[in-house]
Formats: sequence, structure tokens, C-alpha cells
Amino acid sequence: MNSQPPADDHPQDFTFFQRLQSFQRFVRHSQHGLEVRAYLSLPSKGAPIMVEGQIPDEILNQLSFWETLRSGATVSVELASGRAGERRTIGAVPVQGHAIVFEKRRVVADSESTQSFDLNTLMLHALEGAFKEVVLGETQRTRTKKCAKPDFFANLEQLKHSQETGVRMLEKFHDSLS
Amino acid sequence: MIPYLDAGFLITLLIKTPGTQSARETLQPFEPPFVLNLLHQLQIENFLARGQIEGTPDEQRAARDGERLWRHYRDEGVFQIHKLNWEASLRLAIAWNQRLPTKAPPSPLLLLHPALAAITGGNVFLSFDPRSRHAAISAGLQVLPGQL
Repeated sequence: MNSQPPADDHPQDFTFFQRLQSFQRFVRHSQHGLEVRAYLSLPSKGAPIMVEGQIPDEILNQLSFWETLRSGATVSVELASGRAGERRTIGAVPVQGHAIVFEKRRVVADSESTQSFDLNTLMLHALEGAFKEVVLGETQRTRTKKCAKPDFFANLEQLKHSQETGVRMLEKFHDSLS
Repeated sequence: MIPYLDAGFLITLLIKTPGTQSARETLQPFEPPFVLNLLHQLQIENFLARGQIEGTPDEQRAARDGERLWRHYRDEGVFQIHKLNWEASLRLAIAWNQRLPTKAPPSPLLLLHPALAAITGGNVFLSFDPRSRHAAISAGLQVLPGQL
């Protein structure tokens, strides 16, 4: 019996969005005693830059408005154990074949494709190599859920305003188009 | 099947209206991320900013809620803003403005979104506005929801 997961369960075969969701699950999981940090190595900047969540201001100040990671730059992710204080690099990938462009806080574009990137995606790129060993266990546990399409807009239910308010606002919007 | 949401449809995903449930159900069969453009961003952010400044207290709260959702969906990658060929889109809208078999063409933005859909390869136009829907149908796009 083949113990390998079917090809379509391979993380690298996931759509961008499925991978991002898996990554976010991984990050949430990692919050229990583990930290995930991404380091960007910019050839022009010398030492690797650490980013967590959002790119901090002090790093933004070092970057021009458009800072480009071209081929040869590397992105690595370090997984650290909060309890033992041990750290090990779990993924380090060169940026190849495309340029990732920063626009202030967001990594927004790959100049040679239509793919957009945010910081999570950039970290995801870095995790590609380690993705199987780190996330596959979690992916297998959630295999049955993976096919279920999440309702991204379910949190509309949490909106407190009335439909009447929304209707008035929408009418103003439509009037503005005329 | 590549969906293109017009700005009014997008607003119903951010602000609670009677059309919100229908918008969610219409979008459900499609795979995210949903591709938007800078016109969407300008219209949505302008709408939300005006609501927070000019609106009644209820409208201000709704606009703040809408802005939170807008940022959330963009950060999550549910909505992604892509570059596109504005010159070609505007030229197509201008051509439709001359050819649409209506007595009077709709306003420019109502023509522009269907044109943007066509230029970006969208073949399903999601809109609740009969004026944009008419333009999209005339251009050969499928329009959803099927019935208003």
C-alpha cells in the first residue's frame, strides 16, 4: 500500500490560496511555543533583515520606495523554540527567476507574473523547501477539510449596522455614479 | 470562468444590505483570490472614507466596519489588486459608448467596469446594477446573479 499522499495533497500542488491558508494554520500552531521569523537577505544591504508580521519602520527607512529583490537574494525562515531557546533555519530559498517588489509595508508584485505577494506569501516562498516536513502532518490531519470551500465572507454576520443603513449608503454610491 | 466584480457588488460584500446574502452566494462557486484593480480600490476607499466623514452616525459605523473588512480581505489575499491595461480598457469603453444600442449610454464608470472585465479576461460579470449589466451583456459577458 502506498503510504505517500496523493499528488493533489502535496503542498506544492495547492493553489496559492490553499497554501496561504495552510501557512496561516502553521503560524497559529507555531504560536504555541514556537516562533517563526523571516529574514530577507538583500545583497545591497549587507546583513539579513528580520521581519515579523509587518516590515518595521526602521527597515522601511532603509528601503527606497521600490526595493527589489532580484535573483540571488535569499529569503530564509528560522523556527525557534520558545522554551529551549534553540533556533534552526528550516527554509532558505534564493529568489530566482523573478523580482519581488516592496511597496512600503506590502510585498506587492512579482514583476514577471501576475502573482501578487504579501509578507505571508514571501515567508511561504521561504518555507517551500521545508513545507513538506513542517506542515504535511497538519495538512494530513486536515485533509478532509481541505476540499471544503471556506466562506470568506461569513464574518459579514458580525456587522452591527442595519440593512437599512447599508441601503442608504449604497443608494448614495449609485447616485454618485450617475 | 473568471469573475469580475463591479464596485457596487463589492460594496455589498463590505456593507450589510439586502443584496449581501445574494452576493455571497453568487461568489461562492468561484475560487479566490478575486482579482481587483485600482479603480475598485479608489471607488471602495472613496466610498468608505466619505461614509466615515459625511455619513450619519449609523453610516459612519457601517463605513468603519466596511473598512475593517476591506483591509482584512486584502491582507488575507482574498482580494488582490492587479495591474491592467488602462489605455485599452478606456478605448473599449469609448467604443461601446458609441455602439451600445441604447438611447443614451450609461455613465462612464458604468461602462468602464464591463470594459475592464473584458480586457482582463473576466467572462462572468458580477453586478446588481442594471445599467452595467446591460453593457456587459451587450459585450457578450455572462452576468450574475442571473436575475435581479
